[in-house]
Amino acid sequence: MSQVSIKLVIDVTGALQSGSLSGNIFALDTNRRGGSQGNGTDALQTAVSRGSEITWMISPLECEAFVSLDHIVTDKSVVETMRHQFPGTAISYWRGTVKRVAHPTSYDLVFTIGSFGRQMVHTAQLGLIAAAKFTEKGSIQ
Amino acid sequence: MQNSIVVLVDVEAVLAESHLENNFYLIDNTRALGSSGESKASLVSAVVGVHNPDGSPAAEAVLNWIGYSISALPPTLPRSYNLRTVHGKHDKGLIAKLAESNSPKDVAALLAVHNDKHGAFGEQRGEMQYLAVDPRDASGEFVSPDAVEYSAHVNIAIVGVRGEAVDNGVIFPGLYGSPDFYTEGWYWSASVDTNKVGSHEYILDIQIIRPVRENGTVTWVPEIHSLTAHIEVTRTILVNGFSGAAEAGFLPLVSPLAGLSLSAMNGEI
Repeated sequence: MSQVSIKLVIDVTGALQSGSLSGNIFALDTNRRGGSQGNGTDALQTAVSRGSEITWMISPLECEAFVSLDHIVTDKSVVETMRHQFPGTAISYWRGTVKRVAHPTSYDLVFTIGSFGRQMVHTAQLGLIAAAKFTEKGSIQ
Repeated sequence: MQNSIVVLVDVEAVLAESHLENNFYLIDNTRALGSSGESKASLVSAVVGVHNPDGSPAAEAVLNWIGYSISALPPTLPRSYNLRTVHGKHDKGLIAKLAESNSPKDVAALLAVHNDKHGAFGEQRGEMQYLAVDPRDASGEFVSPDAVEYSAHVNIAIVGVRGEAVDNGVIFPGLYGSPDFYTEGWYWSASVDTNKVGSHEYILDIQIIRPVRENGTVTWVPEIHSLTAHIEVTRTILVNGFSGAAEAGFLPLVSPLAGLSLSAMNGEI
């Protein structure tokens, strides 16, 4: 798959209450069939191939709560990410193109959470793994 | 008490496999109150009914459902985003063309064409079209409306709430309109009869659109898929949040004067 979308649903209230993003991020992607693991958890491993274009978007669990994704810290030899903004809005998303997938690679997410702008980091839980290859009969190897 | 239940669907996978199984995720905001199976199909949402000591309901319990596709544009974008940006793009294009025009005749011709296709230049457009006029993928890139993959970027729609919990009068669902950006202002909501303690099952009907290519044209065919979810209703007695007492009473606040008299007695003043 050349394009993979990753949606990060953030339980802002839960994160502020516990002081941690662990268990308060629900990460989902569109490549479960390609081998992604841990969909719906805070440790999603997204299956990608060289050249895969990844888009990260965030969404608060409760639409009144504020959250923004400020930075994605990656191994730049694997994927280099860049923040983009939807034209005419203050809403941003992140994109990156996979350069190589040699080993499972983890990355960090840096968020600003809540009305008082508390910065929180989700360290080395989400990652990228090599996508499964499909055989001619449609099963995955 | 407001329960928010989010339904996320991997529409690309549903289109490929023609079923919802393994391709949807349910998340709610009542994990701290005892919900289980978060982000799984087996979510059981905890609904806590708060009652007065005499048994009458003290607060209403409400369920709110919101659904969207994993690869759709963020639901926090303004409703007019698609329409607004397409007009802005055409207006910018017109300015570029005008800058290269050499005669008033050319300018008039360009304005006339623009006017016919997109309305007067710079005009405030208030009209909201029901369907996106300017298909985009998750990152905002333009996608041809003929492209089969485009449908993966369109949010799902919840079109019905039914099942045992509705039949037995546990939940009373309805479709409501609001300025909420999610699902273009429409959302399903239900009040809960918290006297009916226990586990109850309900069904959500989810609509996705499947582009069907026939004779060179693409028709968007709506498909309804259903999923089953649960609520667990419990009852509790309303208590004073400060004192923990079930009976109404004074808040345990200390009068500033109390501190003053104590200081006076100690000869500090």
